[in-house]
Amino acid sequence: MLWLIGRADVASLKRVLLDSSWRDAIVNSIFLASIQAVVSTLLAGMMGFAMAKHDFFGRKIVLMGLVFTMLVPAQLLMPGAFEMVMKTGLFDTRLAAIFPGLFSVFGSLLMMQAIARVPDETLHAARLDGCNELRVWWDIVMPQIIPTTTTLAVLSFAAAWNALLWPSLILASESKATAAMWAANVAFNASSGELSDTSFIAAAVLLTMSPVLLLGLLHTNDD
Amino acid sequence: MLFVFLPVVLFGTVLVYPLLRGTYLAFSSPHGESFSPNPDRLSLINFQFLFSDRLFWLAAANTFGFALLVSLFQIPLALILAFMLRSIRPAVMPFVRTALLSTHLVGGVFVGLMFLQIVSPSVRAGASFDVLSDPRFTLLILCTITLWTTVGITALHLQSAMRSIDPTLYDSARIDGASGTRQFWHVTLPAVRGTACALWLAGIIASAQLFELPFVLYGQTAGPRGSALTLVMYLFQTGFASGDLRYAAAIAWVMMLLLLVVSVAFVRVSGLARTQTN
Repeated sequence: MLWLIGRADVASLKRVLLDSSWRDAIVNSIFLASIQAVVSTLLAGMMGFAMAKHDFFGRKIVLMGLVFTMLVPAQLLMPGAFEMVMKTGLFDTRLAAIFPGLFSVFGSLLMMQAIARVPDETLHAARLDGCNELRVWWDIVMPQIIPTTTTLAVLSFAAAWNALLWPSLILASESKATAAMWAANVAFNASSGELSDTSFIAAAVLLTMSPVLLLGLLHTNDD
Repeated sequence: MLFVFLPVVLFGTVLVYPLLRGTYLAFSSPHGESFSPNPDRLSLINFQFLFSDRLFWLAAANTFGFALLVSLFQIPLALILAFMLRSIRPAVMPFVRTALLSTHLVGGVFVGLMFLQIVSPSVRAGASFDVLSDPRFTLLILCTITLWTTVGITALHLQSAMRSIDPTLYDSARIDGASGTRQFWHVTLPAVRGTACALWLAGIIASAQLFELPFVLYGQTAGPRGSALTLVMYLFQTGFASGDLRYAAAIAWVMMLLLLVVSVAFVRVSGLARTQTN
């Protein structure tokens, strides 16, 4: 890998950095991936807390639904989701581009496992002190599962960053393109023969995936 | 419990509704346009068409051939790598971990773009022959690149399973005169068998969803003589490029059924269910 991206020279790094379509794509992707990472991690935490520590009506049905949808490949959801996006007029909006990623089944089950290990006594103590459930969740449960939370957030950031199929279905206007769509476009130019500058490709790959790699690096060095 | 409500509602709109709606679409007749509000007649016509669709079966054969080839190498390579990780000094371990993880974090698009530098004829003008336009190389290219991205993370998973092996087992094996290779076969392998099988299955399911890599490498086409056409790519082409959501939904359903058959067969043969109850 180092050999492949090592062919980038300073001139082509500059060319990528000065490319306005690249900058737009990076800004879009950072924005979308951050929102998806934060929202899906928080929702997974809520769902995990509800599933692990509460016995509500329909809990078993929801659990079965979660496990079942985990087995379903994401592509099975796409026709139905695409139709929904068209009907609600959300086509070509940023919300629609991250919308399937806002709820993570895998994340919910992961958080459920993590939260199940949080001792019940700490929750009871907080409730006796007058915390409502939202504060029990935020102030007692979440601080105890920080490693799981950060792992999930990094994974969901990377997933949003790397997603190609769904965003390219939804985002039609060029100004909203994500980093993955930009990279796919560069690849298209390269394979059709329009672009034959190896160092430009190397620089493009290096710079476009650097945010994710940096995040991964920071994360593995935590623990 | 107001805040149970929020995730459950989102779960419904993001996953359950599209799933049910997609199922309905797959079983509805294809006349009229996709977004019309009037109810369609239920029929099996999408599936009838699908079973006689040569392209669909080509895509299925490509996809499962690829998944099979990847799965044959992925776990053995990862096992060897994970076993070798045991002898790495702890001080270097964070770097090795990051290196192994990094190929997993980089998405298919970027990996494809990176490898275009090696395989693309227009980028490598001096190359003597063109591997991308030869259908015999398609599977090989896709598999090699996929292994490059997945073996690292799989090895890390296996390594964490290996760390929970009781070290006294290795000591007694050594006292009995077992070499490194024999320790691997008789101590390590039986202990991580359950994890390896679970990872194996996950790998098959993940490789069956191959899309980005051939999409990027073959310039958004199906490759030479359709050799890079995968099920997800076919779904993308029919459902979204030509706008037949009903047919796309039918493809997705058959794809899931095929995956289910493969998974059940795998669980049966590997005895995965049994190893986990022990």
